[in-house]
Amino acid sequence: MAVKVATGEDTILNMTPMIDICFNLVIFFMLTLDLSSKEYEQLTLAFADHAVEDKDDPADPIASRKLIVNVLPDGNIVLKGNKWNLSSQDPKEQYAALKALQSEMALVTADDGLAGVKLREPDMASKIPMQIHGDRAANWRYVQWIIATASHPKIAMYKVFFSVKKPIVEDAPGS
Amino acid sequence: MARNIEQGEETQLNMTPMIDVCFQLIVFFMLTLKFPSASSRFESQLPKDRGQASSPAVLTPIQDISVKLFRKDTEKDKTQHFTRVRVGETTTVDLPRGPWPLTGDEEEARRVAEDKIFAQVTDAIKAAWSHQQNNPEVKGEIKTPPPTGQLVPHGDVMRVLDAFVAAGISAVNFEGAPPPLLTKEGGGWDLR
Repeated sequence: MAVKVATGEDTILNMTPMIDICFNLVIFFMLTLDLSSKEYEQLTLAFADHAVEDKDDPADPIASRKLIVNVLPDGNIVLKGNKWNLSSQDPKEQYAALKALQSEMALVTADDGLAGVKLREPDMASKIPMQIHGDRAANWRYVQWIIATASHPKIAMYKVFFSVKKPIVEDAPGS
Repeated sequence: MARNIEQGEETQLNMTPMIDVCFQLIVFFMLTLKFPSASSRFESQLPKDRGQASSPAVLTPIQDISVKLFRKDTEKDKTQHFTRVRVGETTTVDLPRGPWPLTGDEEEARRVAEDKIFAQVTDAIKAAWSHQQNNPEVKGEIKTPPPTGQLVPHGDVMRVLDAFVAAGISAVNFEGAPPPLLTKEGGGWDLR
């Protein structure tokens, strides 16, 4: 049977459900937004099966103030968007990179960094962790230098995380 | 001057700009979305009594399980470089030559090949630990002796660390290497 469609009549769309869905989506994405991930460079991480999930404890706001040090495969380190070259043949450039790292570590671990919050343990060890986000092809020597810099008694960043990725293993068919 | 508001007239809101903004926000959040479960990390604690200003080593009857990594054939082309892993003085394995391939299938094949090699490393660590009756005080030690050890890729060291954790040993020390320019001879540290 043919349906009669009246011409000249305005069809009014009910926008309310779509706007509801839009708002829900906006709220979902806002809540799941992790701005700290902006500090991570796009690197190829090492595989590791037995690591823990890279997730900060929301109950520990100090730990989430971690210092992220990106180690690129070419020997560059990236700290808060600034790039420094550790693999340079020029010792001055290497020195500048390590000094920048040292200054950044001193800045984030300084006890007056956050008003009213103690950022150091009673034994002066820093409560702020460092996360080494290193490419799997990066030279281990540079990671050693970064660890040595962090473990200097005046900085005392003893808590160190290493970024890795878990391999995605597909289930065998029929299993 | 008071305005007359006619009653009974319907006010129509123009929803178009708001919907536009909503869509823009959704697109932004979708593009910046990162699922945190895709990445993992090892959490470690550096020894507080050591560091660069190291104290004299104290001899203990417990023997740490040491794994050494060497970078071999570094005088050749980069495609020939490989890492040799030695567990204690008994087990030695060689990782595949050349850099990691970046394409999906080749990368997967390399990972599977390395998984088999690192299973041997894990077994060797387990065996060494069982010789010490699985004493929980036994620690692991990852060494990268000079001159070529420090040229080992970071990823290989992480896999050895993973092998230790797989074997049940979570206390692992790294052999340190101070930055050459921040040693006393190289100018030292002048903080703040």
